[in-house]
Amino acid sequence: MSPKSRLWYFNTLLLSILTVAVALYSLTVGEKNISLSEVVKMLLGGGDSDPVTAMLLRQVRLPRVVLGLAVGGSLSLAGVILQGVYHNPLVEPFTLGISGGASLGVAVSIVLGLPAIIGWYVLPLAGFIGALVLIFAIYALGTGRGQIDVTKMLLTGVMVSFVASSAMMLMMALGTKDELHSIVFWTMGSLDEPDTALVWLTFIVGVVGLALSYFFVRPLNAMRLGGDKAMNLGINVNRTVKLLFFMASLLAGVCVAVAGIIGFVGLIVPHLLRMLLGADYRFLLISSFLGGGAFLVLSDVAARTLMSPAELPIGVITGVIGGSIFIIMMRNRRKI
Amino acid sequence: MSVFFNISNYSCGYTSTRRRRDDDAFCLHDVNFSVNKGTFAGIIGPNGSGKTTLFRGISGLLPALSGSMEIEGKQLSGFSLRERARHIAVVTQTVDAVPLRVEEYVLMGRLPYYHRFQFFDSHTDISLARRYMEQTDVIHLKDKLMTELSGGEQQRAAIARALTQEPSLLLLDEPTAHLDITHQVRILNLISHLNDNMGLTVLMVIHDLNLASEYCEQLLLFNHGRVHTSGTPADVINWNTIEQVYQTPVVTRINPYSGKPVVFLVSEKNLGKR
Repeated sequence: MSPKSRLWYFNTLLLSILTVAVALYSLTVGEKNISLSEVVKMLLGGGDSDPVTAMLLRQVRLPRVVLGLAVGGSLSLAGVILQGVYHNPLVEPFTLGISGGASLGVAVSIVLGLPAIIGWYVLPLAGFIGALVLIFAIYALGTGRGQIDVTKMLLTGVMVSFVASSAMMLMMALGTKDELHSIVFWTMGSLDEPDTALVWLTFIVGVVGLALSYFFVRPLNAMRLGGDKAMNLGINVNRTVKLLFFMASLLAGVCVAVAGIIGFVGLIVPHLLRMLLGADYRFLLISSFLGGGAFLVLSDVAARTLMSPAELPIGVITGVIGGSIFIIMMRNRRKI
Repeated sequence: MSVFFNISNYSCGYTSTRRRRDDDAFCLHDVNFSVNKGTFAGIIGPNGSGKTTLFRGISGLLPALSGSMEIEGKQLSGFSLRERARHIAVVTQTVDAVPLRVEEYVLMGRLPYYHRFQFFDSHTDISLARRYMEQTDVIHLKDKLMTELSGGEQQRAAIARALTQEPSLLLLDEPTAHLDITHQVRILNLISHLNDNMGLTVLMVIHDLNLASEYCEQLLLFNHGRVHTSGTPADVINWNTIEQVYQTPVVTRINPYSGKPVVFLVSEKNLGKR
């Protein structure tokens, strides 16, 4: 085993332990604190606690933690991939207009009154369709027939995002007060998803995304040198950029459909990890996934407990805490 | 000596969607030349004469419009990018200044050889990278960041990376640009050694006609996207040809030490004196 791979296993193991620890901790805290030993017992299927606590844990907290891990992980993974593809440190899944598309989809469905007719699950569906439409629009507009121009693609994404958010504002202006409230509430983002099946689906999508991303680890590493140089090293840059764009966008699309817009995770976590671990994608991909999951779960704990019993929007926590940590770390660093 | 690399009736350029400002510049028209195995060949010519475009064509960054390129009798157009990268390594003009440790950077030369599921460098990869870092004398810098190296060191690291690709053809795009004479000579001596000892065929774009004359066995003089003259330095470097292509008055003499032609430039002021 080379020293590099030993380091990889060590790093992955350490981050996994950290993430599991954060998840377990998050399961214990809330309006009713459950002891760690009880949580572990109940997760393993045993335990003799009262059925109310068991239900609280199984049907409220566990899905929430799983969704936190999945969404945080997927968003950071999408962020780290897009930053690599676009050669731009400021890209995150939502700068590309994916959130704009999802919000627009949700806003349209709320204004049309679809939730009342079809049911509440129409919201994640509309969000996902909205995101999907935008992804294809950006792709079609941003890529020519020949070689892909990533700058053009990025700018197209940002512009399309503006158009989508303006259209959403129009929806809000046209809607009633209740509709406005539903739209704003949805856009703020939350890990509160009553449908457990959807939670596990998001989790599976995230893990599959992580596994697939490792097929692109060598291209991503080579593209750090620039597109032409990666091609000289035998990397099919065009194909890589296309596939990774779709993969990252779909990951972000699923997340935004289920949990609404939770900003900053896809920007902050990859950057913190780059500072700590360097820019080798073999390390960055899995670390971003684990680190992003842990970060979002912790943020959710803060959102639930800081002003308990009121629950703060999780996007506020990721923005304030994440942004502050980021600024402090940047100040203490020699170079970007 | 057998023909190692051959280009016939080759044209390439930027198609209409990516056309550059000037239609004709950066295009190659009907290029023909061949290089024998183990030759150190230099490509010279004025700015915009198609030297870099040729390299982009050979390395597969630009599609050919017509004609063919063969390496050891095999058509390059049939190669995937990966296969190409195993035969041809490129050291570009701009230095690869990314925050990457030198050893990691050099190991990137192994990318075209990795198995599908190989994520970590094998012992062979590492020992190859180290061997070439020793040859190019950057082994003592292996744990430094590329951005911390001087221009000459970066250039040598880039050559080590190219050698780690174990190519049979090495393309160098102005390896001596931005270097002082000490480092220019050091880099070219290094390439010359590699050419002699490893039997590596080298194609090098170089602006300095005197260095080209001194080091290269074969010169290809490009002008307006075509090969104007090719042959030994003595065939190509003479005042007549150089004045015609570069549109600049020059004087040529023979280097008393190496017997190679040397080009002198004359200022407008001194030109009037005679």
